[in-house]
Amino acid sequence: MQVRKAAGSLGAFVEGVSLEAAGRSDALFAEVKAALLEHQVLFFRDQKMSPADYQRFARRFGPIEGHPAYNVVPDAPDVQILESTPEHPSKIELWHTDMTFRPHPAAITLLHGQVIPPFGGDTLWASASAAYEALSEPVRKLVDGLYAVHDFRHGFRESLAEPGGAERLAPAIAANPPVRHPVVRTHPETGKRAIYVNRLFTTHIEGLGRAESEAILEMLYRHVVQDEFTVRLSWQPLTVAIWDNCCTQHKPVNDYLSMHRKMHRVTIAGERPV
Amino acid sequence: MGVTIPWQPMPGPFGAELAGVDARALDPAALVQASAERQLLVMRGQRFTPGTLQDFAATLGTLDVYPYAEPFPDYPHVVPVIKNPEDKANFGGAWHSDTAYLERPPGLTLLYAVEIPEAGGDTLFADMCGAYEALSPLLRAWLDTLSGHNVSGMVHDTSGAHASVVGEGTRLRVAAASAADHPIVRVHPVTGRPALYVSRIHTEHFNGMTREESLPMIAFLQDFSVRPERCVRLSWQPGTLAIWDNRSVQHNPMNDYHGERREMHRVILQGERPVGRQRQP
Repeated sequence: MQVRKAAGSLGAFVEGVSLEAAGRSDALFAEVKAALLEHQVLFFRDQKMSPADYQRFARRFGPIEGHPAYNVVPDAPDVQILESTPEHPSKIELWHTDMTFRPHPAAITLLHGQVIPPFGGDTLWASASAAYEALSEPVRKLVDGLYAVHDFRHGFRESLAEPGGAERLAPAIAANPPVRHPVVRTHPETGKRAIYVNRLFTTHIEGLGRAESEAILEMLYRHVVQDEFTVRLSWQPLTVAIWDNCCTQHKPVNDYLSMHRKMHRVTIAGERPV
Repeated sequence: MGVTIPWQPMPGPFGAELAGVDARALDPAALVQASAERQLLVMRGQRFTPGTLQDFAATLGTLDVYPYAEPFPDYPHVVPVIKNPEDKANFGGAWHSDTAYLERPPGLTLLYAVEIPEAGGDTLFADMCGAYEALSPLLRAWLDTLSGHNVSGMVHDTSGAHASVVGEGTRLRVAAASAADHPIVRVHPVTGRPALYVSRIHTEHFNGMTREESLPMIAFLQDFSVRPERCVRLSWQPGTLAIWDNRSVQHNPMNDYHGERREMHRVILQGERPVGRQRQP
């Protein structure tokens, strides 16, 4: 297994490994997991495997965390289907960390490219831990110890505004009341600190006026996604990306919405952020 | 104790107005005290020449020199602030406290209206003490620990981000760039009230932070400070004299009278080095 860094702050291409095989091998899996903790997001090309194989591999990372808004593959129920078509284009546009509206947000996300448009639809990731380390001392003093509120309704506001959207998502809303997480999160395995607020799900910082909170959040959002903290992946069919939600944010590049794109996703349960 | 001056509160959170009284007949010490407490004083129907304005100002404090505009040749402390009918930019046309980039920024500014457009050309004033008090305790405590790097270069440099605010009719003079570090929260030497001391056109960044980190907070503090509920609007007439305290207010002259002429005479009085609530980095 060869690991080649894809950018300065995070991201690596992993070659010479079959994830289908890693799903059946403790040793191989341990190598993949160690590389993930080091590089925060891993890219694997040409991973031909069935949803069942993919599910077997993904389960090694930990218990599965289902998503309230997505369909799943019938014979591999842990595998969610993320599909964008010209009729129903994806609405996720903003930089975010997955499922921070949950008390225990997903620790790890895996995507397996199924239908990939001939061009466009890249994904960017940003290292929220590299960004935290680059914050100036006065800003770190301000944000260490603050808590922010994250809300499913905020992230899915566009879907909710669609005809029938509120009815369709009502159970998800009922099951996902707003939650509070620390603005700076300590990684459960590496101990590294990372900025843990995102434009998609974070509504405000507690203990501050709305406008004050917006100013501080804006400062943090802009800081995290500076180009120096990012890496960019161009997908191919059968590309797999695995990322660590405890210390990254990501953003889709929506330049493909006139085309069909389909991904298989698995999200791994995480701990309560501290 | 002198006679109590019959100030009328201005419509708004601060400021006081006086009509029918010659400013020179008032006790200077009482005027200085009133300017500290009321933050903005407006006296209508005054009659000043540049010479008598300078003499009067000298009774209120030590005359200061403004580095970036030509004063009257015979009155080196009186600067004519003029917008001509053909000018587009107006002098100081953005929210600010005067010359915050100097080591010792002026305390009081006197501005006397000589020629006023038929309509427009008002000046807005904002209560920077009230702005500080309206912030949440958590943010106040953080701002108390910060200082700002204030520079002349964003305004008094043709390449500066806010170069348009220097105006055209006012005769500018070239002077070396100035910069000074001041507490973001300064304590008024007379009233003891803390006030926000930060502006979009002068504060380049918070010390110890990058400009990119600083900008969203500077923008927020500027916008928050000048919300309408914290503002007083002064409509000038020829003969109106205003005295404001740069330690506790910001001001912003309205540029809404293109094609007309406006002439004001300005004097600044020396202030002290701003003092914060606690030690800054």
